[in-house]
Amino acid sequence: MTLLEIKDLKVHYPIKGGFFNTVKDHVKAVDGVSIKIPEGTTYGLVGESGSGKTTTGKAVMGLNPITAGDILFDGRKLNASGKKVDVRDDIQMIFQDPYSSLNARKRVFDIVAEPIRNYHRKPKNELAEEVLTLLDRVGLPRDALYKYPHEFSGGQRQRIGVARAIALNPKLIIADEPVSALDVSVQAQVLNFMQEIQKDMNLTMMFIAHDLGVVRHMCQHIGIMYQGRLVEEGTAEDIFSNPQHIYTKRLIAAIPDTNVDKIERNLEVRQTVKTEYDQNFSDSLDDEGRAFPLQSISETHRVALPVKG
Amino acid sequence: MDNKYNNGRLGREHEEENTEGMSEQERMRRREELDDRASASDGRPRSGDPFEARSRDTHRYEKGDMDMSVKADLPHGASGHGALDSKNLPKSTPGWRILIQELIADKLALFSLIIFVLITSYVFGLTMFLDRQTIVAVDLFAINEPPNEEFRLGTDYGGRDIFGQLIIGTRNSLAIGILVTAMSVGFGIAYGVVSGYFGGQIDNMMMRVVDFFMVLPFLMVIIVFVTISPSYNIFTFSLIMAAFLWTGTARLVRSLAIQEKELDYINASRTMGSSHLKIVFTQMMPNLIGIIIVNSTLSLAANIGIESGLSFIGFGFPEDYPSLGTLMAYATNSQTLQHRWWIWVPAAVLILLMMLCVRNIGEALRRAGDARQRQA
Amino acid sequence: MLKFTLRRLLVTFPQLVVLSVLVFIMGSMMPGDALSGLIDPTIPREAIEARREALGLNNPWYIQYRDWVFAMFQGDFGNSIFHQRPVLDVIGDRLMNTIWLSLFSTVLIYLLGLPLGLVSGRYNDSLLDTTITGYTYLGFATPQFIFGLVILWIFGYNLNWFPTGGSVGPGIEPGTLDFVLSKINHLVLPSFAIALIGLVGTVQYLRSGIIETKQKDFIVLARAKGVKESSVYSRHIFRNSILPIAAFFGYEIVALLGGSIFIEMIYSYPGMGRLFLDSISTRDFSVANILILFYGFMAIVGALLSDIILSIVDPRIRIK
Repeated sequence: MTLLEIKDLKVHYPIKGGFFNTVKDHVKAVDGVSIKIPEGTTYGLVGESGSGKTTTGKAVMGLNPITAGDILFDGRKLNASGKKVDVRDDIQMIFQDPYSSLNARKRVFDIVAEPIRNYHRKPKNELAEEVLTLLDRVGLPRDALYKYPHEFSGGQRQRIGVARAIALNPKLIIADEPVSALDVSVQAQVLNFMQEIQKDMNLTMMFIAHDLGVVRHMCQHIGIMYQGRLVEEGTAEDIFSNPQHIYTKRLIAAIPDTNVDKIERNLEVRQTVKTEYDQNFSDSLDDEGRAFPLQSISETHRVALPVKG
Repeated sequence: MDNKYNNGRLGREHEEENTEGMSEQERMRRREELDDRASASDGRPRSGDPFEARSRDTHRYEKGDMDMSVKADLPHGASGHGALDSKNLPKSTPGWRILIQELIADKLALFSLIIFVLITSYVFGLTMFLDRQTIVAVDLFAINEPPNEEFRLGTDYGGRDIFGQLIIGTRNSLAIGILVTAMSVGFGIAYGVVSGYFGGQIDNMMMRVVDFFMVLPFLMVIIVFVTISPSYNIFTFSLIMAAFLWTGTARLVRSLAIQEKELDYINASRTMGSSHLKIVFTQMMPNLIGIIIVNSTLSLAANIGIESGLSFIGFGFPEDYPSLGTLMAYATNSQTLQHRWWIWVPAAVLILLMMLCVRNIGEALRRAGDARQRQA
Repeated sequence: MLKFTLRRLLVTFPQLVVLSVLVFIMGSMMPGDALSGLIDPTIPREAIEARREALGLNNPWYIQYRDWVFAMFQGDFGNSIFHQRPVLDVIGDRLMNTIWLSLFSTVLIYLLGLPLGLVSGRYNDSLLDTTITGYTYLGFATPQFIFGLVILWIFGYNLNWFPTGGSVGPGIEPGTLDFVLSKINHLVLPSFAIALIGLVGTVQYLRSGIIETKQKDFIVLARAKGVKESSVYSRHIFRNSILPIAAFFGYEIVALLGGSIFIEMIYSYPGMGRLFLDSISTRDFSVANILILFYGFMAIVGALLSDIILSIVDPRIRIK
């Protein structure tokens, strides 16, 4: 069953300029993206910076204005005009930067309790108990409760962010590059525990990343974005073993491999992909330098290839 | 800084400069703002004034500097087992305590604070026992007397006791200064936060209004308003002053709010269902309060100066309702200036002393906000 | 640049309109009108009413406002009730005095402020720097009118070095050398009173600019490649720190041209600030209003000037 469906989402920002400061053009941050995320699965949205992946995530959260398209959550339209559907207790977000996403003036207790306070009235000791349970769950010591964010490391801060995100028992979590600001040594830790929590709570997750390697172990479905459009979409299996778009191929070739014996071979692969990329990349985009519409090449696999003919 | 925004409207950043020398502070701030824009590209917070130049990229990892809170040294498990009731919740040192610690560490500022508190409490205490009517009553048998046993600081041309006028005048000047600061800063904060937080067209409109106020020669406009208003008391007088002095705070707070709202904790609050009002006042405000306190302190000093200046040129309160500026105004008479020092020198010293003290406190607070300059 | 200037002027136009409306409203709020002072009390009421009607004083405010603005475009800024002369004539007399005063003060501010800031920044935390910084601290906290009074008291009355008021000695023929000398003699005290307080901003700003620039990598590089210490300062540091100060020239000049109300009052110097105070106390509001309009206009021009200078001296700010 599909929990989140994004239909032809467009987020355009006007560029102003000229003598009268009129709208000259639009930045098409997201330009026609459609995504379906089945319940209980993780969808990885991958792309270079500026490809519109974070904008997509924020649009789902209602943090960005939507130019066109629909977002359906559990069959309900989120961006319907008129009465706004409040699903914020069902959709939560984990932010990229664990430093700026926690208010430095607030104690951990206040940070984690904020969503609970907004949706449920509870006496203080009950609230404290609940927050303590959440801290336990994300593996933070109980005495973290009355500390300030700056007393924690990046990894711990991100755990606070997760605790806050799961406080309302949401159904969907949008994780916006949750580990890219962390040390590599901590990344795996945080990823593992996010996976655990996802299983425990049967969460659906939209996992935004710029690194295919990270996504590989987290996600069942993967979408690759370039310049505001999807270039390829499919199951993790589709993407990794049968990449069709040259952009995807290059991304996969760029994943570092720790196996020393394969260095030569990897280098060779990288070189071939690079040559192919240099020759064909512009052909695989339309006149505006954007991806073509997606075409299905199997049940689950869709690629933006130029229309043959 | 929001560069995209600023570049489009460079012109907006100008301010009225006709401040008649009273507000060097304003002028400095304006310079810093322009400089901010100039150095926006090198992205490094300038030394000396991190409050002004907090650029998001470089400073966010130093959030700890800004929040001025202290590490909570809790024994492990202190809050552990069992129910946590509000009584044995461990407490962390709040930010304002850092400010106080910093003030105490800065000897000059501490000294200034003590003097200021002494003056304030002495003056406010004493005025309760002084009768304004008897002090400002004209006594033709005691005109222009130098200090003697009966009149500790002598009398003016109407035979009025200078000492009494000095005390009442200080009280009035202080009261107006504080009132003007409270009103202008209060309004400026609300205006700036709304403008910066909501941005877009709202911000555009609101800043147009500020632009207009910047062009006004505010001292002259205040003088005109004071002249044409049929009657005024401390409150309405302060209101007239505050009506033209709020724009500095509004612009400062707006630029801070613009920086602050880009940070993800604001987005996070929104995704968690907090209302805009709640976000602005419970999430954003605590992060701005340090700078606002510094700003208010410095504008208090400026406002005391402006008020005494207005009274000095005769557009403050009448002689039977003295302020420090009223006493200074006697010195425009060359006889008084030359031969009757007791009338104006004490008032001049008091104005100077108060402005110095308040400024010193403000500067110390400003340093306290910057971890690199902290002394404690 | 031209485009920018034009656009700025376009943006400032509404400001001028609003300013003029405000001035007009203030004018109509003020007690009395152009006739109250002019007309002989013996003239019958009906005649006054007729005059009022003829002058358009009974028209609705927007008609009056329109007439007032049109008159200004034709150079008619109204008449001063007190002086019984056109407002422009009255202001014109004082304008030159104020221009001289601000010119003197500006020169003094930069002449004294720049070296002080340079020394203080170069030898920061030395005894000299501490003294200068202490002075700026004091200067910031000192209201100009108190400083002006003290200077007048010391150098004018006690030491008798300089005249205590006016802009020129009595009975001196204009155009003679004596006249010029007397003018300058009268300018010394007021312009020093303005400059000594006015320079603290420049000093502090220059000082912190220099201290900051000192630590930058390109200065380290200059030293490393063997540039002489004196030319490190004169060619690299000073040039970089002076830019923002140069950009403030526009604001500075306007501030001074506006004339210090306090200083002109203390030294009974017949400039525009003094004229403003006089016209307020004589209820000669037609003069006061035009002065406010004038200052507002100057503020706009000054801001524009500063922005243009800034864009010229600082290549990082490109105005499109």
